[in-house]
Amino acid sequence: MAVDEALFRVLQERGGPPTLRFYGWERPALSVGYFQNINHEINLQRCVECGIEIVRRPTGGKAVLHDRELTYSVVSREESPFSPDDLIGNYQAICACLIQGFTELGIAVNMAGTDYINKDTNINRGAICFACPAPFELLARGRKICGSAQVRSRGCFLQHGSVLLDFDAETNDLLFPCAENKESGQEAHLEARITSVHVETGTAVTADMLGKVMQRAFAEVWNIRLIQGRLTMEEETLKNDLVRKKYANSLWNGHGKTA
Amino acid sequence: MPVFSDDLLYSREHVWVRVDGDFATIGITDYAQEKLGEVLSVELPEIESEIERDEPFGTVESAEKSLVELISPVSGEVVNVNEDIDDDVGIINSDPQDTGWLIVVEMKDLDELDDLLDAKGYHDFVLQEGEVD
Repeated sequence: MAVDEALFRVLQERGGPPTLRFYGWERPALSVGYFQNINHEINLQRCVECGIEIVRRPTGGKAVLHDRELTYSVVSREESPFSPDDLIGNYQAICACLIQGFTELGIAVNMAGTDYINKDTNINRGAICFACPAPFELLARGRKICGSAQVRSRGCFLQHGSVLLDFDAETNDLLFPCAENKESGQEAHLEARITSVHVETGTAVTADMLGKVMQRAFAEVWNIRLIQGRLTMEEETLKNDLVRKKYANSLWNGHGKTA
Repeated sequence: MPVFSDDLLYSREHVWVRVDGDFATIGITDYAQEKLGEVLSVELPEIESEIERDEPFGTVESAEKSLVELISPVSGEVVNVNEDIDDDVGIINSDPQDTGWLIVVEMKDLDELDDLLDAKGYHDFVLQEGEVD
């Protein structure tokens, strides 16, 4: 999170080319959206019992369990050779690359329409990213396989996303309060609405393999050459500062406050 | 078709300003709310907090899971925050340039207003973005 935000902030100040990152997590963790109230929306006790740490993203959207998935981030100027300079244009430009990657894996995906919001209102889908697709998110056989969210500022955006390698509805269910009420049907809802690379391909695709496929897809669709980069001194310093002040700070992760 | 009001000044960060002496009422432009889509959540500064020109003073999140940082067009002290938004965040979409105002700032430096655009200037600015007729 700190690396992504550091790249985003420095791009706003200095400009530069887009940055694409793919990464995993050392241990399963739950990332929550900027505005989420974790006291109401997350079963904190269960997270502690499962050893799942919580980090608050700088981006919008809802909670994602980072376990058997691939996280990506794109940091870019809103205006670029790859897309129109608006929210939907940026989303669609990135989706086009992801679709190409899924296609290479033999998974047919399509973008959710604009009518998905507010369906199935009896479910605690409000807290769980994958429980309900937002417009322009990617579906395979009508089930969400990739979730994304953005933050935009000063002509730049950071988009986070998660591609599911596998999905465990039971574990996900337990991390959210609706699990206390089995009649809520949350677990069944998750099972019915979410899929994964494993389910769609029937093979065990690793995060490393998926990352390489997606890298190729971005390069092909945007017709660019990807260059392996490192954080600049400025980005590294800012990243360390952000770790201290935000992402390793319970005030931020718990309440969205930095002071 | 977004509304551009002659009685407002506009920033290139899609925030409007209504000036009354040393006080600036600030909100997001009609153009911006159209681009953003349905606003779900807003975070605004507290009264008596200081905000700086060109720095974020708040955030809004849309139904498209996009968070947008609101960039302040002026520096000063926040003297009022629109509490009606707590009851109905939808007014940011339905009436962004009037009842959907966000904050009132007592400005430190009125010269900062010189960098803002009038309605025609803002219209021309967003026209360059290719989204307005």
